[in-house]
Amino acid sequence: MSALEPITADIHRYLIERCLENDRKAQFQIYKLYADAMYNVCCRMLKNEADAQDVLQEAFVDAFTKLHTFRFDAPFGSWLKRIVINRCVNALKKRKLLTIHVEEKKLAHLPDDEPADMHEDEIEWEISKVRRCMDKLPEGARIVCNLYLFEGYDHAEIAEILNITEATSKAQYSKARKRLREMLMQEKTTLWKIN
Amino acid sequence: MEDKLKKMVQLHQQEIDTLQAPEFLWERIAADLDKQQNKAATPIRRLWTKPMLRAAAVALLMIVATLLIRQQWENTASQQAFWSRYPELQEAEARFRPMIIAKVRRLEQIGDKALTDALLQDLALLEQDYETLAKDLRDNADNRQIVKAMVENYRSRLQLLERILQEIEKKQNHEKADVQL
Amino acid sequence: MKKLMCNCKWVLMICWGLLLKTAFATPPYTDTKEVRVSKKLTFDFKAQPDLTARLQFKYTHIILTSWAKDSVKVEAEITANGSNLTEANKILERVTLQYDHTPQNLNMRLDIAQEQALAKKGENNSFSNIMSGLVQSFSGSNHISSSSSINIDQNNLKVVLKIRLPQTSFPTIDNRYGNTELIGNFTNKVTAGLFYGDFKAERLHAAQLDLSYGEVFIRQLVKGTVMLRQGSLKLERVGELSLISNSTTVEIDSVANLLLDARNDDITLKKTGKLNGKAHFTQLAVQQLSIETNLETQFGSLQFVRLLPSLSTLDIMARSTDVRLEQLLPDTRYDLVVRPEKWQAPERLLRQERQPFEAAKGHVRIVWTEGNPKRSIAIENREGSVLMK
Repeated sequence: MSALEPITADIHRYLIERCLENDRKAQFQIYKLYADAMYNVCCRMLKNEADAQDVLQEAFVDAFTKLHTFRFDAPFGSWLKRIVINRCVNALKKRKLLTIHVEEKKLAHLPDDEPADMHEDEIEWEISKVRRCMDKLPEGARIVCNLYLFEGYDHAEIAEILNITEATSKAQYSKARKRLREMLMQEKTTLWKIN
Repeated sequence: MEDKLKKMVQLHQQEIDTLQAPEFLWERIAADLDKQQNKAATPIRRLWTKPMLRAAAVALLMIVATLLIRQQWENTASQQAFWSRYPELQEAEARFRPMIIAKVRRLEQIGDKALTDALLQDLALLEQDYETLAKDLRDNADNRQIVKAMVENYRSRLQLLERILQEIEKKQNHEKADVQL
Repeated sequence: MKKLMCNCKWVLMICWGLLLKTAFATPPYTDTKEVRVSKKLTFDFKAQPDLTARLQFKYTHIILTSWAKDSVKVEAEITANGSNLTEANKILERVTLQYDHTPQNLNMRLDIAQEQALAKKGENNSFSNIMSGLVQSFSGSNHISSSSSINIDQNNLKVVLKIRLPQTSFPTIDNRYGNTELIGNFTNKVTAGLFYGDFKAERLHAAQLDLSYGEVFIRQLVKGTVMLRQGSLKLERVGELSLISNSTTVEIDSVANLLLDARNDDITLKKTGKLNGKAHFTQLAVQQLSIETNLETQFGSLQFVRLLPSLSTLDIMARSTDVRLEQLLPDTRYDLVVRPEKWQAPERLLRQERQPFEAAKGHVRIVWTEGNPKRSIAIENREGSVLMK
């Protein structure tokens, strides 16, 4: 859907041009346009608001410092988001939380397109529950799942971001998806029992 | 096979994207940027801060950039041929852009911050429309109606600014007059 | 490959038992200057009453009609005009219409390819059916001259899409450079994103509309969100509406509850129940207000012509706005902040006691009551004028 999304539009080229001249006012305008959206990205990636603030700070400084590498061929928002994501991944790696390579071998043999669950119709995905359960996934699967579902990257892009193979990304996602389904189903049964 | 989960998330993501970046963050970022700038400032750099030199340097950069872009376009002859089909777009850009930039500067001088920000957002939306039109012009059907709409888009941006500026100036003049009375 | 196989199975399943017809029609004459070539597509299928119809179109006149049946009927016609047969066919060739459907879903999409690169078929898409050019065969002449370039526009390409949908269905429409019409009663949510095209609807129960550069007319809307830019909007009867508008002209005959976010608009509201939100640089005229309003305004003007006795609250926070209250109500507590020199009112009000207003220099606050207060009218207008009759 075209413009029902919030306006993370490519703000005036003019603003960016002025940011290049280190115009603080223009930089603040750009910051204000994107800060909230990017903050949500960071919080999802890092699961922690304090870390998210630090990383977001670094990412914006980073972005303004290397703004000259931005070409106007892509939306500014996606360029910025990529910087934010990379910063998040680095932070996670620093904390040694992200260890996809360990699981990689085990999972790599899964078929590219695992047929979707046969009982798909039985489950009603709900955004808040998915979001909550996602945080309980093993770190590797969680990150892939988040990048794929919430940040809108495809598996080729995820592979590049995380420096893994596309197959691994797909496998991690299908593992995450399966686990999410189980968690939601379980939640449902628990609810039934309570009732 | 469509992924129901992904579709659902795309549809409802906005509902959970509710966190707001804390207020103090910008100050931290600005402080970092200041630090970096000071670090980078060498005696030669300082020349840049002199307005004339700075303006000249920017102008030079722009000329170089324009030349480079030209060259790139010439490399892809088809693209160049494509845009040269629409001299009215080039004309519109040449005519309206400087006026728009001047009006934005004026707005920043006389309007308050919140107002300027809001207006810049409106302009960004119009610019986004322009990009959509340009994309349709390139990808789908090259037609006069779209080109006309693109020229009109420049005019809308200018008119928007003019209307708003006029109203602010009108009211501010009244205020001044009142004060003098 | 595996993916393809998978897709095929799916397609077979959903296509099973449906009627699919593609017909090509050409006019009998080819010697006149204008040659017209057209393609028609018709099909229908049994559907769930809550089917979702996703339509992504361009240059298309879309007409959706609701009916009380649990089925869908699609008629599409693509017509191209050219100075000769080859040219007309060449235009037609660049147009691709893809579609697929299940009882729950109808997906249709129209693409127009660049002249050089004709529509890629089957690649990168999940559609099971494609109707595209390659129709030139009826005349026997198969060659395409590549020398002349043809511009596609509304004059030489006409696409008309008519769909009958269950009235409980969920249409989701994207259309650029084409008009969209909804005929009849749609009782579930209608979603539309339109760019350079008009929108017309009779009766919508729920709507989420994102419209720009077009004229919009809706006879009745029960509840909805409308984002409108650079266009005009005329609504006759509205229940609950959230209107986000920018550089538009709006006219609403009757609205029960309006949440407004307007900038640079010209808005006229006739019968209004509740009116809340903000209006910046907007000329806002309210002919009649019956329940309440809480508005924040900046610049522009705000006018209330008639206030009904049922009114409970009128609260305006304004900056540099010209506010006009054409009627004063009895049994009301008034609270006004204004620059005294910008306040026009009947003599007896001007004699009311004035207190200095700390928060803004040069402004005064005037509080008075009339009769036995049942409601409150509060207006704070910094730097703006207030006229009371």
